[in-house]
Amino acid sequence: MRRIIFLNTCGAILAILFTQNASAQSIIDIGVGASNMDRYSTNLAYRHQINDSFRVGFEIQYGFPKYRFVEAKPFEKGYAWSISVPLSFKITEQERIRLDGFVRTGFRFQGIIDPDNNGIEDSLLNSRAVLFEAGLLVNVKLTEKLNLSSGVLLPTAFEIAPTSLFEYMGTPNFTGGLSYLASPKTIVFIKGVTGPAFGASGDTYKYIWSMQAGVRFALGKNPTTKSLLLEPSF
Amino acid sequence: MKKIVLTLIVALSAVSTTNAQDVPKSNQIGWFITPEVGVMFLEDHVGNSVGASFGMKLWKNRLKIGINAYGRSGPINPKTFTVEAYNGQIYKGSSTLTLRADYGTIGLMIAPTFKVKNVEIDVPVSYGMGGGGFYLVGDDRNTPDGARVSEWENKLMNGEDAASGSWMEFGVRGFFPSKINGIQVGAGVHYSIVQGWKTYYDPSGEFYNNKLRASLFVNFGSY
Repeated sequence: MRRIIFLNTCGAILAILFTQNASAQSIIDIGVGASNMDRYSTNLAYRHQINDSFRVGFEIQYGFPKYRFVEAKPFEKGYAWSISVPLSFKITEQERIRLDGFVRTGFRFQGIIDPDNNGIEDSLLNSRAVLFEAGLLVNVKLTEKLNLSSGVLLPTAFEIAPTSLFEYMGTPNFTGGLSYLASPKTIVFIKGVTGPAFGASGDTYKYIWSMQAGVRFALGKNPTTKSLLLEPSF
Repeated sequence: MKKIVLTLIVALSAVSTTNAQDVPKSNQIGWFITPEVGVMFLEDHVGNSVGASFGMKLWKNRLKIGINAYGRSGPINPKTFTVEAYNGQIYKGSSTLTLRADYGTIGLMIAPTFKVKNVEIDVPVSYGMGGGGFYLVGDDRNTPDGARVSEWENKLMNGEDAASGSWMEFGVRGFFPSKINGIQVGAGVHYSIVQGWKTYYDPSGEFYNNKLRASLFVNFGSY
């Protein structure tokens, strides 16, 4: 009986959160990018603007490494993909400028192709890490169709396999981006993150940067002004 | 039990649909985020830095309290430094090490703020920690035995490749309005004091101590 009540309560709460507000909006982002970690990467994200204050999402990113680490040792050839759940929540809004808090948690999976450097590309070393990011995001409505974003971030990565170590933290990084309403249901965007980093007794990045450009599709209703709000991606 | 559950649903519904009110113009507690780039006037070169400050504005924007952090990161500063390895050790055929410097600060910031016509002036005072050191670069980061490069850096520099110390900084910044309320652009000058930071390359600890820094920034904030 208690389980039934608990499940019904959770279901009711979820239904309320996802259906009650006229500003609820679902969007899909497709982006490509590059960074000091990857030669290039692709990013697919689903985001749901629950109401005026909350947005939650799910992201998958796949990268082709050029400078990544496993056990605090760099590698150049392999794979790196991550899944993460970003959450943003409004702190305050004043005319055209809005401040949001941002949190992202996720997991990263990496592998090295030819880890023993013998020319045989059949060995993979699996690495797993926990990702956590917190920050403050500013979005400014420059015009009805153009939005400027900026903010500060503290991205962190903790390797949990094959060893446990604090891989890196941005100290802090800052983010910037532009989003433009290209058509009633399509937004184009470009965004980036950059800043110093430290970790792993120095056997890690000392500076990190990433850039991503892409297209955002609004599902269902035409985009609201909230659809122009950008979150950072690595 | 049913009444409790229904009450909970109604309460959560009310919380989740409450929209933040627009902040009134005479806000008591505001906010700021100030990403910046800077240059550090060091002993024999100019270092590049990237950082940000962020926090709250109190007393009708007359006082800022927050966090200030920036890094003079090695990858954005190509200047190299040479030093003989500890005890004449040989690394990859040479006892002379070629290094880059990497440094960062983080601390609390308090900044009294006032206006002169439409230009905002603040006087940031920061206190916290400065840390960093010197590291092998390029192909030297591929160690001959496959060990982590930090292990070699410790051996070659007697464990003094990096350090941390206390950091204090005073400055003056000018904020100029833009066409959009809440966005300002500006510049500042700062004076840094770093105590207790000593490394193998710089045993005097003066590398970053008593140095001037200049910054350019964009400020986002309440108004």
